[in-house]
Amino acid sequence: MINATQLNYSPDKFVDREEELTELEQRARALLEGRNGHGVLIFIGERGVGKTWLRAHWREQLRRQKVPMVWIDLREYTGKDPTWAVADIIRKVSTATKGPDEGLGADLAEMSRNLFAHLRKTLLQEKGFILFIDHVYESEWAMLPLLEDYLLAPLSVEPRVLIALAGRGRLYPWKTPELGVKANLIEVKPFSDLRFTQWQLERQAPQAVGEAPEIHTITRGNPLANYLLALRGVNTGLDWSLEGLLATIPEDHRRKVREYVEALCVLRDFDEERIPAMLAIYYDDPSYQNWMYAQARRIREELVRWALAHWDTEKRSYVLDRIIRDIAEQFLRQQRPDKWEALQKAAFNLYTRWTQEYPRTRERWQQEAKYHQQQLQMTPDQSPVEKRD
Amino acid sequence: MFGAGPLVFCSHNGNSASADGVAAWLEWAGFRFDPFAVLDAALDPHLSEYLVGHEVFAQIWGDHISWVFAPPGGGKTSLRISVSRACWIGQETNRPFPIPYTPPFLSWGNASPSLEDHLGALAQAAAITLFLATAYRPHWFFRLDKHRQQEVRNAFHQNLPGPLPYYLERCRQTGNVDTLRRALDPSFILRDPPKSVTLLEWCDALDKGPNSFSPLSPPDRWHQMRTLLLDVLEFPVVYILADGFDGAPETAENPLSVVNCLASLIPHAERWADERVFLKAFLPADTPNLFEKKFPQLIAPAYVSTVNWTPALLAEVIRRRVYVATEGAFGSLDAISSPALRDVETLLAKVVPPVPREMLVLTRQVLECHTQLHGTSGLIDERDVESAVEKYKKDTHKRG
Repeated sequence: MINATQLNYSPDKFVDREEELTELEQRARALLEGRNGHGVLIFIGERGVGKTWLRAHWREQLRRQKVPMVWIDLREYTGKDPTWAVADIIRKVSTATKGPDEGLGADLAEMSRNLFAHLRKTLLQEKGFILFIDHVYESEWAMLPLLEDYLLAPLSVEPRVLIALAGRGRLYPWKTPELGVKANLIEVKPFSDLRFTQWQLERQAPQAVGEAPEIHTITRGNPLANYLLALRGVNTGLDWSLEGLLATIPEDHRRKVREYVEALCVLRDFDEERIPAMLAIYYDDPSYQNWMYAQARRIREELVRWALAHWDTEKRSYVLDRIIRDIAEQFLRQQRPDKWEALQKAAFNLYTRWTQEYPRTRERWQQEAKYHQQQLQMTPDQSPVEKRD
Repeated sequence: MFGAGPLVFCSHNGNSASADGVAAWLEWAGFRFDPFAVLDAALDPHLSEYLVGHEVFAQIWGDHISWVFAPPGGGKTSLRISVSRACWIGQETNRPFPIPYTPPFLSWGNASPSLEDHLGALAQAAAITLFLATAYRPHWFFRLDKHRQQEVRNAFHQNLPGPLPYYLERCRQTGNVDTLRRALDPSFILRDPPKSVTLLEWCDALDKGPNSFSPLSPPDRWHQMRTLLLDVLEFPVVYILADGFDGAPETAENPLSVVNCLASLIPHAERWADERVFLKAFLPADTPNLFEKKFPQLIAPAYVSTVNWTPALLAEVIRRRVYVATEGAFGSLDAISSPALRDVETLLAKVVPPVPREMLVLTRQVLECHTQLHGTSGLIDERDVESAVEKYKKDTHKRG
């Protein structure tokens, strides 16, 4: 197994994001100058698109500007009791704003009241602060309503507080308008222009600048995938890149999860009804065809849990994250072409059968069968990334 | 409209065995709770989470006058309750103070109230809401100085529908806020009710001081409440949420009577907005032209929202509930339907009249049919939907 690597943030290796940074800087300046800079920012974007780097760069700027900030990472609370977790976060906000650590209260309601009494007396009278909460949408939903009620909702209307939330996965249905319908979404997108990929590689992997056009075509400008692919080169780096993209998954889960991703990556969308057919071909084991729904659901839950797949509201089905699917399919096509072809054929056969079995939804399955037929007819030099969507 | 095949009728819905079956199936399918069980918006604790038509909510929410037009059952009360709940999040007074205002025609004895009538009713509605809110959040009262605490007491004496000591005594007897809530506004629910000992302290603190007052005029009572909310308790703004015209016999049948009811109040809305009091009216769908004709300056297009329930939006009602109840695992019944069915919600939405309540009734019917035909597991299939639609149509026909 390859040990994946990720490049740690460094200001001199940072590329682009001018638009996002300008908005963030304006907000911070407004806070510092006592103007109305409050509100809620929500960073969203696919895996490896650069959210972490953008946040790190912004944090660096804020530190230079001496803007008071409190930085919370919800990953630290995974598996913890939600009430304890939110109590701990309230304590952290209190101590970070020079308030009391102990004696805030016996329950969350009391702690929340006392925190606000402290903030109103001190920080919010003179200057504001920025509260940054990371990995929000990867968190358990049991914790988020408590966080909303006792910290985020009351803070979200304070005129001298800017809240920034970041995460990837299932968007949480906040009931506070300032966190939901009135929040500002900052969607961090892949580099749309080849030039940015070139600049990135010049700073992070100069040996691969010559391969930038090919890399950019495969990754469609995803900075993490650009970097990973550049380290090993297009011809041999896909395996390494896929491993790197899955690096956040604990090692004891990673191998299985990667196999599921590879088995499903040829599909444009999937659900529990399609998982057994694809696993049967991927593992060359027809017994998967007899899987019960609950068994397939465990696979789907695993992929959603690690934020590799999500429910797509337009397709009304699950989709793998775009970059994960792109790299996994390219890897299969290049390194394991027989498997790729077998999976495409399995998908084609499944959808063709459904076209016959289910007259009401025939058109929908016909489209999918046609797509897989086209994929099988493509010559090896035609990139599935370019042609399939 | 559905494919051929033997039609199977489900038995009568709504019994407990059927409810247990649906609950068990929902659990099998990965739901954390039943999002189709509660038809009364006021009783649904998740209402604000699965609100659809976000643009309408976004348009209503904010410090400005709002006019919302929708048909009966079209979601006005859901929106009004969602606005109200959004005001009550947290422990502080830094969010808007909502006054749910349903015109009390019975106590007025007429359908064309004067401004005084409105002001008296508004003062009472505000007092009830504030009384319940301070029962849930006694610290708002405790942190006031003595003079200001007396102002709160005075306002309750003047404006509550019954004597203050009577409510306090009932509260003391049970040591529970629910007693007050049930007596004054059963739909008023806040998180974190106080401990009994704190509630009793609040009762005792409110019971101090004189109990007899010379009654004030309705305009003075309204002025008193407004000052209390904005200046004493320091709520940033007040939202008056006027609703209930569809349900009142005085206004349900005649759109002009809704205009007549509000005719004395609306001309003051702009001045009140300058004083941080914002009228947000949830009105029947057949009244916008009448209001525009009578108050052309006030019904500004920017603050008018019309709720039109298209099949697409009705389908979204179900998808949103599925998303919330499965904690984001999936957002459509398609995820738990056979490949023979796609876009299940739109199929259902095309059957029902364009109101969310009917969509919920039919969806629930699908689940009941599924559990009766297939038990408490398995994907929803064509037969479930066909049977449910047949059953729904028969029931609708019976209801007339």
